[in-house]
Amino acid sequence: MASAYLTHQQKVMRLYKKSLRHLESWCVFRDKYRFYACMLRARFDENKNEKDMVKATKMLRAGEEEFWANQHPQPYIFPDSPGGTSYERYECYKVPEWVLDYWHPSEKAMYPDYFSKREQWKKLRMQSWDKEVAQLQAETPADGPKTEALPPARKEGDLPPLWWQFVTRPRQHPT
Amino acid sequence: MSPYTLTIMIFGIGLGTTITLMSSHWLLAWMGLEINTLAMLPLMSQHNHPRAVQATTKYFLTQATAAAMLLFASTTNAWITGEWAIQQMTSLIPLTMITMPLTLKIGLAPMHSWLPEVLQGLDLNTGLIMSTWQKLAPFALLLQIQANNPTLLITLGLLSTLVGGWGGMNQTQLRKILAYSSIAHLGWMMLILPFSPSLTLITFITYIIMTCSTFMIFEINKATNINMLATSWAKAPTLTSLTPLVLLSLGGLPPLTGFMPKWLILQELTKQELTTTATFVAMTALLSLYFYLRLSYAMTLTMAPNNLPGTIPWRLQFKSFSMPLATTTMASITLLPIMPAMSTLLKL
Amino acid sequence: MKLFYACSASTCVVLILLLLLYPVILSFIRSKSPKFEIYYHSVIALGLSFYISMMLLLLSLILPINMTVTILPWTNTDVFDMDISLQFDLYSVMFMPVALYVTWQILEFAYTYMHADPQINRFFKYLLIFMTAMIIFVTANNLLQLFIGWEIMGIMSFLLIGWWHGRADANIAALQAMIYNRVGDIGLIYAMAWFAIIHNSWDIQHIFQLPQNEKINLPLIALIIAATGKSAQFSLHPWLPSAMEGPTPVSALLHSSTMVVAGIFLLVRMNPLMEFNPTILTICLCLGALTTFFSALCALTQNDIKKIVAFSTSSQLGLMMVAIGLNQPDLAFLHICTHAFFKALLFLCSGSFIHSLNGEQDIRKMGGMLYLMPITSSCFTLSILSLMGVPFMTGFFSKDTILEAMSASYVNIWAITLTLMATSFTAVYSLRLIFFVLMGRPRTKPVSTMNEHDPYAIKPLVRLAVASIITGCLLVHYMVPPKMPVITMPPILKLAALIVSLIGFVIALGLAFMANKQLKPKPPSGPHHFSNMLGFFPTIIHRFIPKIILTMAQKIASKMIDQTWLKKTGPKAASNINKPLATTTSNVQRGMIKPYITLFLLTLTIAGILVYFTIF
Repeated sequence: MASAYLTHQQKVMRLYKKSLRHLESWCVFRDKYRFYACMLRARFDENKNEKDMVKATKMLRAGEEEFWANQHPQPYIFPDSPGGTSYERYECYKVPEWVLDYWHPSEKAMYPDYFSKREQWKKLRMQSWDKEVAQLQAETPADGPKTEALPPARKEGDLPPLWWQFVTRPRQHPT
Repeated sequence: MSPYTLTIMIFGIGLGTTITLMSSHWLLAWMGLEINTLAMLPLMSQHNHPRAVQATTKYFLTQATAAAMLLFASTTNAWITGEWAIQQMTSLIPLTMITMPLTLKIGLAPMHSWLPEVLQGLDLNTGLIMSTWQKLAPFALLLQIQANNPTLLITLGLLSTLVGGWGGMNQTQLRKILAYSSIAHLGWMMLILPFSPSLTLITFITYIIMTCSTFMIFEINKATNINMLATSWAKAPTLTSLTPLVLLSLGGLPPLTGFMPKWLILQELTKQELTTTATFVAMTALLSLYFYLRLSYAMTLTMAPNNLPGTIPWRLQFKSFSMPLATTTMASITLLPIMPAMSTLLKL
Repeated sequence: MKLFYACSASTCVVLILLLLLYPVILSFIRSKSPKFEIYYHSVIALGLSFYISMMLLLLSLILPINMTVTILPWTNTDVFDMDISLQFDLYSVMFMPVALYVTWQILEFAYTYMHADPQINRFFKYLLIFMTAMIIFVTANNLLQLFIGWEIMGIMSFLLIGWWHGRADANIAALQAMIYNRVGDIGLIYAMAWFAIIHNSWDIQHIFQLPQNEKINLPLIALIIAATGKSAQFSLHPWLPSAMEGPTPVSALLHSSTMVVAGIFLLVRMNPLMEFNPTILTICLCLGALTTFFSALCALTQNDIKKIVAFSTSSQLGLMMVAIGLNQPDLAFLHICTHAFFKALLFLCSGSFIHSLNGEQDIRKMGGMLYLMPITSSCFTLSILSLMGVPFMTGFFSKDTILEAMSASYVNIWAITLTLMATSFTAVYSLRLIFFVLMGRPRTKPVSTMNEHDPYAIKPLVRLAVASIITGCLLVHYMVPPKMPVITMPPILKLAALIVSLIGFVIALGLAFMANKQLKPKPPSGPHHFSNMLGFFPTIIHRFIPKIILTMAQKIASKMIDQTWLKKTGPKAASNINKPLATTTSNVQRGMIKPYITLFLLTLTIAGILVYFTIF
């Protein structure tokens, strides 16, 4: 693990997320899960303002140990996630999207519709890049992002930030 | 050296050996040996080089010692038994006293120490004579005397094979390596001498053939140490690829000529119920094999880097007279199949 | 009459084989076939073969004859004759329609499940080749023929488990299946070699005439090992749950209903050899009981729907092994046939759920399927009831008979207890499946696109569901168990199977309601982890033993042989010994003449003295 390079905050956040996931594996029913998730959150919140780093580190360590003792041997994994049941199921769909840039023109000529559309996407992406970045900066709080996720598109008619990832993402499954 | 003198000297070498070979009287045999030695000395020192002169001096001193001892021993023999004939040696002490100078003359351990030094001081042609022709006369005498004390000869033989192996291991000088190879081979010959003199003869002949080709190969490559061998691929590629076979033949590997004497000797020793000796001497052959392999490795199995002009000599005309080289090389590689014929023809 | 039967029977088998291979051959002839062509051809071929095999079955109903038909001499040498010969007895004639019917339904269903797969034609080809191998295996009257069928099944199983070869897990599972099956193959090959050497024949009918003595234990144990590998009995079982990496139709066909029973079928075939051999029978009994208990135990806490069904398969295979151990091969065979129907149905329903949930296999994320997919849910419930042995469902007729035969016999009480516990566990995990998958509220993703409009997906389910209800009754009437003694027994014994199932059911129900309350976030870990991690068996076998072997290999091969023997005592020692001696020899050469001459004189003196003293 890269834990040596993580800040204390990151470690705590990862522990919290991991604990939630494993709790979800233990508590099958949603109401029960919600209840125990709130309890877990409360336990984390209780010490969130701890200023003494020694104490905080000790608490983190105790938390990690508790997690280790109580983890689920078969945690729930989404089918598409690594380790899931349909992860990388179709080999021919594993190829990333940029490979298309290296197709030979004769090959590209065999799928004229797709590649003309793709050119439009690329052009649109170039055009909207500055706007996207500006929007991202506007929506990011001054003291840095709270989560790693991108903010959703909040304004009417807006596309989500970095929308082309959704448009041109390679397929994982045959449709 | 003027051609006349050279001719006379070479003639003297031949004459001395011939006299010894023909004689049945100890005095005549001693005389032949002396003529041979005295004729050899100017040949050795023909290049006025301190090393050559030093080698000549060493050679002279050892040979003189041997000759004096030989004379002393034969006189003692005549005094005790009243008999000068070579083949009528009955008294044991003169016999031992005669064996010693003869082994000193051919360079058996532990009287071997002069041989590497002397050979190192000579050029390769003279070295070739030194390690082949010069052994002939004392060797013939050794064959003739009734050596009824096998322990002495076996001890000397085993010591020689050991020393030949160990001495050669530490050397980078080709002439010294060849000297030790000679010591080891002579050890094999002494080992079998009490039991089967004809085998000794076969060994001697094959040894001469193989040594001749080795000396000539080194002569063509102008090589006197291992490093100089490394460029031989650029001089004579075909020869370079054949040389390991000649060297391994010297080492005594099976499909080559050099295997024949070792095979027969080991068989004969086993027949004489000297299994331990046979095993031991076979193991000592491994010591010699090590430096033959090292030579092959340096010469053929690796290709040393070289500057561009150094890589082209093989395109030039091959000047030297290569017939003897071709004959001896082929003989030293491929004679094994005629082993039955050889052992029949050379029965003493 | 006999001749007529022989001719028609062999014609039927040959026709079936040709029909099954026809789509495969077609794909070789035509370089590029339309996407679903092989599918249509194979469904038709399977349907026709089923009807042909039914004709054969009806024929054998009229003329109940056991016979072997030699079609063609294969290799005839002076000492060892081999013929291509088919065996038509109760087992082969009855198993063929069952297997073909199940396969037919599964293939039809596979269209829905696999329709988006880029290599769908090859998929159906594999299934057909597999079915051909199965027919060859079942009808073989010759050990080599049998072995050919057995091996093709193994290879097809490997290819089909690794169907999604882009996945690392699928490749691992395929390799696991291959390796465990190879262990079993060693057993079969050993037995074949033994029969060839000792008995000089591979003809099964000839082998049965072997004298029953101590010596025959060896090949019989080898045969048990073969069955253990193929039928995933305890100690060679981990490949079966891993095999669930394959597509669900494959799991349904190969790893529940047909291929895995090949091991049991082999023992059923060879039963005349072990009939009077208590040692072998006890081994079978204990092995079967252990398997059925252990697999049921592992099934209790699994969360992957396919894994649960796989463990229930393993458990049922253990039950069949128990029947073999009770010396009741007919009952084992009956269970093979009935099991095929309801297990295939169970798998197809699971596949239907998984497909509708976009590949979700975790039962924690299912729930409420009863309202979303009513037909599939009904079929699912039916198959589970059959699996639990609810009276007058298909499973009841075979399962209850086996348990009854067991409690009526005076065999190992330990084995009986284990089997009964496994039976009650069956009820527990069955209820767990129903509870989590069908009942309650959906825990799926909010957007649900599932429907039951596709006739290709629903028809096979319904057909199999009908079969799961009625076939048990039919089969049991056809197969009069000849070895079953007419006995009377107290009601408690007669009802033992039902009672333990009921107890299990009630306990499970209680547990389910407790789970709804969930007073603690997680259950006590020990027993749960043991069951959830499959008894730590794969961890120990797949990690610990290779680790020991690799460590030993490192110590022996690398350290002992390479470093000690080939280096330290070999070349290094030689050089260490010779180096100082070589140095000494060189050190004598210092270019001084005086020592040389001295050396000569010294040698001379010593030699002289020695010679002098030897003389006098």
